Amino acid sequence: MANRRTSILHAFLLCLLVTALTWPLFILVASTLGHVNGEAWLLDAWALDPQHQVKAYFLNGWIKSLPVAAALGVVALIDYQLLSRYRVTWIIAGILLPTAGAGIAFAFYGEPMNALPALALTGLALAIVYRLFDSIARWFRWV
Amino acid sequence: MHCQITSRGYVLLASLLTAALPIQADEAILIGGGHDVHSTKMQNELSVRWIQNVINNQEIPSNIWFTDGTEAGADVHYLATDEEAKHELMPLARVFGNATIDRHRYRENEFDSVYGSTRLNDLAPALTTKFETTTDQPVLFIFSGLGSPTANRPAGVSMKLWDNTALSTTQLNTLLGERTSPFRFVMNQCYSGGFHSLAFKNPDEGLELASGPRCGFTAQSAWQKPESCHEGLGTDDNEDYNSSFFAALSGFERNGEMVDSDPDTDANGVTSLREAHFFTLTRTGSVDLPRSTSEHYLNNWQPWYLRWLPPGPTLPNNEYAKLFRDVSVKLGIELDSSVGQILRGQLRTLQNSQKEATTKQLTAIEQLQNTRTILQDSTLSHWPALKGPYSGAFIAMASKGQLGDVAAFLGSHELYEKMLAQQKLVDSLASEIKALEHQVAQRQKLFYLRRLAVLKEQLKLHGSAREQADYLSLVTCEETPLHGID
Repeated sequence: MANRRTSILHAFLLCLLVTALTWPLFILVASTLGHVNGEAWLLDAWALDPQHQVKAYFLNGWIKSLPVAAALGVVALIDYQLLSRYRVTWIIAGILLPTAGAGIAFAFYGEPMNALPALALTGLALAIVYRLFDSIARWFRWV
Repeated sequence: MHCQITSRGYVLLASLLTAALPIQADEAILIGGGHDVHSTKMQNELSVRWIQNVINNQEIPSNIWFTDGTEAGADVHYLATDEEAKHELMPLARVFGNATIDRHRYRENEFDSVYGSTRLNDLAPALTTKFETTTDQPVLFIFSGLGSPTANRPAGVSMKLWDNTALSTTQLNTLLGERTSPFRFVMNQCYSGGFHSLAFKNPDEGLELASGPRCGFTAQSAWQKPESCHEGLGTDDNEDYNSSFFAALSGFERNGEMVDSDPDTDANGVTSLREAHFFTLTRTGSVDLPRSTSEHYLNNWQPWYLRWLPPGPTLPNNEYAKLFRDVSVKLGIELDSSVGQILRGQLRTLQNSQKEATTKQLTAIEQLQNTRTILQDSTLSHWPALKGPYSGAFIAMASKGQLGDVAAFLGSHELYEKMLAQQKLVDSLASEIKALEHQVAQRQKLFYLRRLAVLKEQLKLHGSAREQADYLSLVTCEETPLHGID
């Protein structure tokens, strides 16, 4: 009973973690990619616009992206249920997140190839977070 | 299918509506000058007078509101030439006063007919009357002066008016009321970008357009100071936004020379306001980052899921991409796949040089101040009355003609030449910083143009039918020539 409750809590926390971190990680990945090719909007906005406006854009994005982020949280949960709990499939656990990122690019963007790198890499970053969280949970024998 | 029909329907409706409107400016309102004589440069007066000539040549009736109007008393200042500035008490002015202010001269404005003062109490009722009498005519509103910023809302920016009064975007919006005939504006003051909010039903929020066509062109965003806020009183200075803008419309610079490129990019024989704006964007000599209302719309429209994405490897094919290429070529920047990195690298180097020059300038100012303090102390030990200018002792000393002795003492002091050299260094560092600022601004402008090119494409791909129609109506409003095409 206690194990079941711990498992549910673990799954809930995993879902929450992925939901909460989707937007910040997307900004981090997109800005890093932009920085590499010299064209991050953030760099110019930080220099030319007041910081409160940039922060407002960030917070607005965080709120507006919550449904998408929650969906990714559910994807992480499904991934966990399907792959993470078995020794053989554990190696590829998390793969559904970059796949979902790529899927979002193709489903919602007019020019998917422009959005694909940032979204797929955001999925990858989320997968790393998810694996890290899972490893910590296993290390402490929570699950 | 239904969605497609609605989308096309909106665009068609917007095109028909805007095409049906009279497009030329039937009335021009010119407002110029600062909030007091010290902030009103002769250059500003020259610019307003020249703009009036351009407008009059197009046979458009215009009214000018400038500083204190026709009231007696100096309302404009200018810098005396080196020859005019020479006087025997110059060393005294340089050590105890301010070398720049020492060169200031004051006079009345030289307009033949000024409608009135820009004092808010005079201007606001006059504008209300003007807007009421022109309800069915297009109006072109030109402001050439100074502006004040806002803490957190673009619609809070103001035009600074005479006697330290101000007219904010919100106030001007109220004066315009429910006006449905076209209202266009050109503004070069600091933070002028906040006035693009006039185009929207709620200036503070949302993208729903106001009932009548409203669009404009400003020298900067709501947050950045433009070139016109910087010092500079030369009569041949054509780099402020309004001067470039009207140079494009008239075909001639303010100094009488022909413009160096043809602003009429679609070669229909008439330069539209939008083409004049593009002409100023390709100019490379100022720190302005000009913007139009349609560009402001694109920036504000961009949804959260597109804003942070890095742009794709290739630029879409539109007018902003062309402007980007034109400015890049002018600046000698190679257009290859790594242009973004090259620009970012140049920007970083220039900003570092700017920081270094600023640090050097601060050190030089400190050294100059130290030398001045030594010279002041040394002089005060001989003539203590100098400590209190306008005091009885000072006036007695001045009436005996001793100020000339003080100036002679300072002029022959061993540190005086050193102080002059230090002043020269401070001035040259200021010029260096300004030149670097210009170069930084050009790189920022290139990034801005690239961003606009991408934004326009994004609106095409992701904007709703309503949003695309609104954007199109703003562009149509901007594509008006100063005078109608027959």
